[in-house]
Amino acid sequence: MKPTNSLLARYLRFVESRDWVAAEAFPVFARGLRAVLWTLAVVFAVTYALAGPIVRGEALRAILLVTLGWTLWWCVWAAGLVALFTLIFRLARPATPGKLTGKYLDAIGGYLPPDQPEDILAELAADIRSEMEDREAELGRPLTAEEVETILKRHGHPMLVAGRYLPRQYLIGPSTFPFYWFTLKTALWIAALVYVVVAVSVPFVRGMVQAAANAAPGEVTVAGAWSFLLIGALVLLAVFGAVTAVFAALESIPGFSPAGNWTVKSLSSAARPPRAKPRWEWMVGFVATGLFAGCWLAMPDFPWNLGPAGRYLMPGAAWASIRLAMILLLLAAMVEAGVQLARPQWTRFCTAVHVALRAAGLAFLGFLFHSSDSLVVVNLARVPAADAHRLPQIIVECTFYGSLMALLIAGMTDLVQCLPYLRRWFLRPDRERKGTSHQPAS
Amino acid sequence: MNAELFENLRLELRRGCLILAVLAELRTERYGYVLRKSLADCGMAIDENTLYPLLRRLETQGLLVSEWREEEKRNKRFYRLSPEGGVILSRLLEEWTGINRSLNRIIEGEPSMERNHEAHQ
Repeated sequence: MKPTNSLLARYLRFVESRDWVAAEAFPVFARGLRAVLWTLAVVFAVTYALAGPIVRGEALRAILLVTLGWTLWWCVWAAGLVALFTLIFRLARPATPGKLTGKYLDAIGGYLPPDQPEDILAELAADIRSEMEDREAELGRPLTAEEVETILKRHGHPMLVAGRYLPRQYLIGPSTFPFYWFTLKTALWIAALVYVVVAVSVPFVRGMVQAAANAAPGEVTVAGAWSFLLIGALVLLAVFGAVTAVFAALESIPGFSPAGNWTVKSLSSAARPPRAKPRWEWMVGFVATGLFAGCWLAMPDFPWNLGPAGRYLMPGAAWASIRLAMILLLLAAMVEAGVQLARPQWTRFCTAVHVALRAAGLAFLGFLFHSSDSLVVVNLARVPAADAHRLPQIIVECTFYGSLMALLIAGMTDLVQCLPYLRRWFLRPDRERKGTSHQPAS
Repeated sequence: MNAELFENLRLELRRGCLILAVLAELRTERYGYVLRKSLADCGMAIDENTLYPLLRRLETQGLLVSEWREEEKRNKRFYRLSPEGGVILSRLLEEWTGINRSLNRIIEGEPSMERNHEAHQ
């Protein structure tokens, strides 16, 4: 049987490779199955052609359904008879060594490249027969079917055997892989960042519109969070697929080299680690964060921290819910500054903490923005009677627009700041060390 | 883990040597099965799924020539080294001898010890 790649031919090859139908009966089975499928298609087409011009709508659908049902019923019976016939045939005539070899070679032929399958099969057949003859000479008798099967199984699965003759066995070659891997990682990080910024920005815009319309801001729900994660995963999967497809296509171009015609002068400084912050900046950051944490903790009892307006304010309902998260964030920032001061060589750890802190900061600001509760409320008892009617409205508007601006500025700043950190992430610490040790060992 | 690592390194080490062994064996004309047996007898066993694709690749590269011929009432494909393959083989053998000599020196450690000794003096 000439190997083709149609669905039916693939199915038949599968049936053949699994040995479900006896080799002798296989042609009958294949012809029978083809006849059954053709009968089904022809009966259905004839029914449609006859009934189509006469009836329409529900009546036509009913006629076609009945026809389909009856055709399928008879096809199942016919297929059952074909299967029964082949089973009887198989039981009556078990496989012989020669037929097993032929079947094995046919199976290999189905997977071989189309240009010279006969040549390859003939050579494999000569090898297998020579091995069988040697074995027969050793045993002094013809081989049994089981012994032949042992030899054939040792040669390997037909798909694997044929796979060795295929021109290309990989999607991304070893010379392209480093470029592919670097591009993939960069693309995934950028896609993740862009997705987070866009996904976080959309609710802000919606919030602004809602604020303009004096409507209540939307809440962050569990379903919304799952949707955010699911869409994010799909975006990353799409980026992975696109990058892989592009590199696989480039790999198939003969003579393609991702390195190109490079010179040392043309090398960019992209691989160099970003210049580290001076130590004094981290020290200042450590002290300032500690001071801010102290002010934050003391604020409910000492509201003058908020400035002159503090005497009119007191903690709102949202204060209790964010107090612990804020303290943890500040502590994490202090840990980051401390690690940068004490162990600056922990590059990956520092980068991971930095990125995590920035993400947590954005999430925190987002929560504040979405929260319907107020962080601070006006202590009306302390407000002079003349300003009492204006002050709450001013405070609410200032809180809303202040948190919105803070969130946008923080998002933009973090996006810019994270890029060198992400580039630094790709660099191995040992490469940094190697890069600085140019002096020969004494 | 160590066994797997050793097996990978062993296969890597053998890969280049196999080509040399096949080219050297085909200075005499042989067909696939006999070539496989003679390599196995010399301690360079190679399975047919590696050998036949390798033979075809070497033939495509012009290092081997092949011919279908009947022997013992059966068609067999006989391979032998091409003139270009002969030149390449002799150059590869020189390279191999050089590598072998260098490796022996490195493994025995004599020259480096001598160098260290001279440096101390």
